[in-house]
Amino acid sequence: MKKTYLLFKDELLGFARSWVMLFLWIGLPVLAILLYYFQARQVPTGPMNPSMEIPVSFFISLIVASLGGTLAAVMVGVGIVNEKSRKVYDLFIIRPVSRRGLVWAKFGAVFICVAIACVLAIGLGILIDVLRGSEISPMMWKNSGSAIINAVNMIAVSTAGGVLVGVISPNVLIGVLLVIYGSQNLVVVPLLPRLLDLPDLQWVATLLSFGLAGGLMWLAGFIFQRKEF
Amino acid sequence: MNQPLVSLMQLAKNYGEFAALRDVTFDLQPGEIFGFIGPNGAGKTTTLKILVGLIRRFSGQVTVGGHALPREHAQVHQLIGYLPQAPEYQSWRSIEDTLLAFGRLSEVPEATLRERIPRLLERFALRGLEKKKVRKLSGGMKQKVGLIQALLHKPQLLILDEPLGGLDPASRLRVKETILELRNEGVTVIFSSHILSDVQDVADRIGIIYRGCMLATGTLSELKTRFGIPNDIHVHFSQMPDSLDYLTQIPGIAGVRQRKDYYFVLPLDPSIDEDPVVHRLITETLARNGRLRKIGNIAPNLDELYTRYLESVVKAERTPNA
Repeated sequence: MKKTYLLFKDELLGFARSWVMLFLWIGLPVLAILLYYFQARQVPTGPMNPSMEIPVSFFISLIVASLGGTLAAVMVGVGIVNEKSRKVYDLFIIRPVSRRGLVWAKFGAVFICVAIACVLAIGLGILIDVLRGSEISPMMWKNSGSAIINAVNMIAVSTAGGVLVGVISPNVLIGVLLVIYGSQNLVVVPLLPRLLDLPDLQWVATLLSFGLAGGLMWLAGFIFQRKEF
Repeated sequence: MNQPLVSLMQLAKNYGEFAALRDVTFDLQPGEIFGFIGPNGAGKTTTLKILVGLIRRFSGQVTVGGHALPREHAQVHQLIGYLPQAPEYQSWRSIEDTLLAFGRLSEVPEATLRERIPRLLERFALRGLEKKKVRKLSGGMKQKVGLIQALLHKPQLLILDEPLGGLDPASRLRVKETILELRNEGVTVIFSSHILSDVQDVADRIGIIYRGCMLATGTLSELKTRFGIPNDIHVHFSQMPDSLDYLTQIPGIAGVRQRKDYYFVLPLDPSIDEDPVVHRLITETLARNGRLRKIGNIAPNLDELYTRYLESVVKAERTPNA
């Protein structure tokens, strides 16, 4: 457990200092804000109400929820395939380290980094709304909270899917394809209660997401443990 | 004889239909340096990967320090240090980051690591480059970092796969010195290499693997005797004798090969005592108005031994009824 923590801490530092994360932490909120101002500020809703200004925080939460999961999955999937093909793991595996610990450390680091990026982006949206004089209603807080939870759920599932793809893919190209076509379908899971007209309980979606992420990670760990390097 | 530190018995490994290893058997004693040689694809790296636990599905018996692989790989991992053929690291790490991470994962106390890393960096001429990213290192530098990470936790068994590839002459010398020092400290070293002169320089024993089978193990002189490969006499004339016919008439000289002008190599019959042959050669040369610049009895080096032996193996394979 201590070794897994060491690995996790190292991976976290590595991701946090990488260019990808720099883009995610700064670029993602900036991109969302730019999109908001240049494309989506006015949303037509009907002849009686030709336009309605939507809050920045709401718009950003939509963007990060859709982008964050994909980015997390691609990042971790490609990272693992790349390191695997360069035989980076050899020097870890020959040490008294659990192979499962290696993949869990990767998952934890990417999940936390991308989740923080999403929370920062949504937080920035709220800040802009406040600065623009929007009314901060309890409903807005609730929606923002809900958006953050949804984004985190999706990131958890996508990251776990990305890890699994990374472990099984023989090369980067297949890895990217599998992430885009496979892992992306998994992010529907947190939305299942809503899609199936079940009671839309946040905790059910969260439980479902983290349950699925756990299952995918178990499978990734199992395959990685049996893998020959 | 001590209990062997490493024991491989009838080790075999298949990749589908392809038999990477068919029968590899050898023991290593504590404090022994074992040079592992063979042609490309012979099974050297596969054998080493089994020893370090990177390959866990195989047949046969492998024990390291009395622990059976793959079952007790956790205990074996405490005992070994490993340098792969072309070591690679997580590209975002610096040299120092890399070494600290590996040291911590190998359970080396922090204070020991802080003392040991600079010393090893100094030894391998990497001091001052601690903060350099590993992705910016040359192949030789990566190799040195690889060697340092393998030594950090003071392993009992050091497994080196082509450790000298890509190193400059000074670094090669330093690595060979390090290997010999480790032997004196009781560390067992097994290393594969294509640079046979390096193997000859440091190895106590040599193992030759070919097509997944261990053909022979032994010291250089044991292998020479076993393969029946004779010494040569090298003769450098300063003035050629009247004729060279007398050379093949001297009992014990099995042939004459001219290497360059005035320079001849005379293979010896392995069953003959060499000293009388050399004495007679000198006498007869002088009697034929020849003058000698240099004469010497040269034992075949590992390169020659290996090449001649493998040639004989390949020839025997091609003529199975011979």
